[in-house]
Amino acid sequence: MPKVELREVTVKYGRKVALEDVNITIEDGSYSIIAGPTGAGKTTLLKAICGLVPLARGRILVDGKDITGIPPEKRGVGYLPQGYALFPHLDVWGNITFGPTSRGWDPRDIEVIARRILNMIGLIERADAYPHELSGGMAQRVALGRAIASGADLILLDEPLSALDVMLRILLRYEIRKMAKALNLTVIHVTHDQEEAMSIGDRIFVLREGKILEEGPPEKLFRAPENPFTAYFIGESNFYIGYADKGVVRIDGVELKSSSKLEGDVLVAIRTREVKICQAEERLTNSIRASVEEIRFFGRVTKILLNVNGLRMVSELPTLRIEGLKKGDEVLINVDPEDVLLYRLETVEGYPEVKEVILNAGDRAR
Amino acid sequence: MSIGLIEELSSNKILRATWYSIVVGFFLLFVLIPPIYLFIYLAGSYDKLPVVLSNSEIMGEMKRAIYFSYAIAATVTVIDLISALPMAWILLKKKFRLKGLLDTLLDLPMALPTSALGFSVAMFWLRLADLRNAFWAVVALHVAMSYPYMLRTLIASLESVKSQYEIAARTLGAHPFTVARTITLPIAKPGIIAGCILCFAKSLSETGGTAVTLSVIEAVERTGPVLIKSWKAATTQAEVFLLAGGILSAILIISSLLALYSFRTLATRWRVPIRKIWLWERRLSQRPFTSLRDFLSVLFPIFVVLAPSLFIALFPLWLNADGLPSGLLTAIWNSVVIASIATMINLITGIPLSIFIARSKSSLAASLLDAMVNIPLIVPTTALGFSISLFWSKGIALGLSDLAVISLAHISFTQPLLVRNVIASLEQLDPSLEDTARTLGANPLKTFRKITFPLIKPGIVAGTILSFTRSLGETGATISVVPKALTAPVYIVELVSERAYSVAGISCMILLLISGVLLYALKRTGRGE
Repeated sequence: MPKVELREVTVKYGRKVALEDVNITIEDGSYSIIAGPTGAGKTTLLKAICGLVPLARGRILVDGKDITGIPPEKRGVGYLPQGYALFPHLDVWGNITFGPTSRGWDPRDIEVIARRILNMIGLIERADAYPHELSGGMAQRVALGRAIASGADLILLDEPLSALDVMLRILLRYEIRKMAKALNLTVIHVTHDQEEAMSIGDRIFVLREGKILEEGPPEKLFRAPENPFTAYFIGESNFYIGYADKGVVRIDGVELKSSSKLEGDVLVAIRTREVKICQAEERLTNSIRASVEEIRFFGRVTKILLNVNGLRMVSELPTLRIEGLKKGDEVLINVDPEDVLLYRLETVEGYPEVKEVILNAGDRAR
Repeated sequence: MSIGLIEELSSNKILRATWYSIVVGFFLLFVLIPPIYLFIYLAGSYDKLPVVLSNSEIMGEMKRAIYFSYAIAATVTVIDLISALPMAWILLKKKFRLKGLLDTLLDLPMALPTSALGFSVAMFWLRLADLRNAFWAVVALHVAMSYPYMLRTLIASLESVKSQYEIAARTLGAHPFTVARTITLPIAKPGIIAGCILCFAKSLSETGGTAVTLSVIEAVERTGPVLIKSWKAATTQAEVFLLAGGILSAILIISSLLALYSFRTLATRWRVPIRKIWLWERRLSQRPFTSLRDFLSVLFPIFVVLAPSLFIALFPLWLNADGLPSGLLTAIWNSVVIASIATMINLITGIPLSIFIARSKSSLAASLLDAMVNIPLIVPTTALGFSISLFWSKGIALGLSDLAVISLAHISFTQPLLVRNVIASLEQLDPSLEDTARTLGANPLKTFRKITFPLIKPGIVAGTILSFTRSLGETGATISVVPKALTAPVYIVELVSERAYSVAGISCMILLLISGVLLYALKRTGRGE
């Protein structure tokens, strides 16, 4: 059950900086998520921790011990690359015992360990199966079992669910977490799927272009992200450019109360899930009239495209709650001032992808 | 030192870097430095050069030989391309009886020593058509020898074109011929260019079979490599021939590299007129054109490649055996020893070199090495062998035995075959397999032994057989080191020049058998059995 600390970790590929000054602490026994878009440096971060890429600068400490520069085979860090990398020429038994054999353990111990692991992952019957004969879920269990068998208690998972079908993906993400918690492992799980990140992480680290932008528990990153990129990447938001003055933000013709203390030109983010449709008789703060322009059905939830005094806004609500709503309806919407998030307008310059989705930015409005 | 200790040491980065430096150093010293030394040597003896340059007989012979070589290589490449392209198409896309047999038999000339092939082809055309024109006799031999290489390269490159493009083009209304011309071939162009370069270089480099052919038809013409061979044999009489051979080797090395790199650059830029589609074209997709095309494409390799190559098997029927090839066993033994030494050293140094190139593709050093590995495949082996012989006798006079120097010469042109195969296998290997093995506690050497090696083994085996076969059949590089070396291919060249045709024929048949076995082994590994 190790605690992992990264101190000013910088990795370069030639001239390209893949990771820049990453400072994070992964608590002992925690399930941490590194979330970020493609090309953010997520895989590089994992490879740096297990020693597969050299650091240009910085240190990595495991339980206070500096492991920078130690070759990967001597770190005892379990790494599950994307696609699991089960050795195709070895059967399940051969894969599970690869680590212990490589470390030169006593053959009798190896036998005992391998049996215990196979029992744990429920594949004792399939010990002589080859990787191509296993289902996606089995392959994942073998990969995890293989890492644990080698004595690792820090496990790095690189997009472990991306190769699976949607249904299995949702089922298995809880299974990995359960297994990790039962065995008291410290897990660092990399994903670009924000829903996956929120549903299983104890703590999420948001990585973009080699830098950690923000970290915190999932609820905090969802309710009150400190960085506009987090508001963009974790959960869905409506983005606007507005002007804030004494707790009120004006976005074109619409005025909304905000709990933020920020004043002046601001970037406004409102979670689509926090845009509620309320009954006409309720008088809440920030209730505004809006008309329904389009209804998009997504199964459990439905997205409603609203026109709020000429301003476009998306609301995401459970399908059950909006029965009977149809295009052209006039409704009353409401947003809690806590959920009107404000950021300095300059910050958006660093995030072109956020700029792209600002709803009242002229022709670029979607 | 125990394996465990060596494996333990492989974790050390500095030791690993040292090991890779040694391997790269070996490659540079044994493969690249000798040709460079040739130029240094020529520059160093500039005071003697006028003796050669003012000798009009030598210079005239040199000019004619260079022209002869390039004219033949160009003709051969054009014939190969035109005849092998429809055949590649047929073998890839059509099903017919005996296709598998034809497919296998067409590889046979690749495994046969070219001097044996040259004897067989020359005899075939002499008996059948009384062909005594030196140019066409050599072209006939080079086509028989290089056609399989062109065919294999074309099949591989056509195979890599995704069928979706062709299907899309057909559904958009294009006729099969138009699809081939405007979609398939332009996409497969890099492979077609590679095939042309391969055949051109093969033809330019061919020595043994050409010498045999020219001697059978009693021609006075010489190709570049054959001229180097005769001058090398004459160096014992006058030193002027050593210089002349050096100059000719240098010219061949430089001109072949220039010719092929400029061809590649030009051909890559050249665009076929794919925008225009002529209406008469659709006729070409219909009978009887298609039947005629298929018929001719299958007939050509049967009569120009297969029959001449196998002709030697019939040969003893109308010649009395006037003696058994007494020296053949020794010659075969020498050939096997040289091929084994060369292949061994290739394995020891070639695999690490391949790993270094494949794993650090982004670094400048690796991409340079990657390009340099191909040089011995492009320059004529006789010129390469000449420079190696010069380097180890005049450059570094260690007093190496002839056998050792011949082995070194053979390493230089067989190593690329192994290295290319191993690099190709490594590139298909998912690098995360090795990464994971490391994190599971295996040090670099153990990772190689237990993960990398088993997975790239088919590539290594194929590369090993290829380089062994190639070494076994090589004449030029052997002859340019020691004119009278007793390897099997050189033995045949000598028998033919002494007019001992029946002994030569029997020797060829024995070599044909050995080659057949090797080819069969290669085919089996190719299928991954």
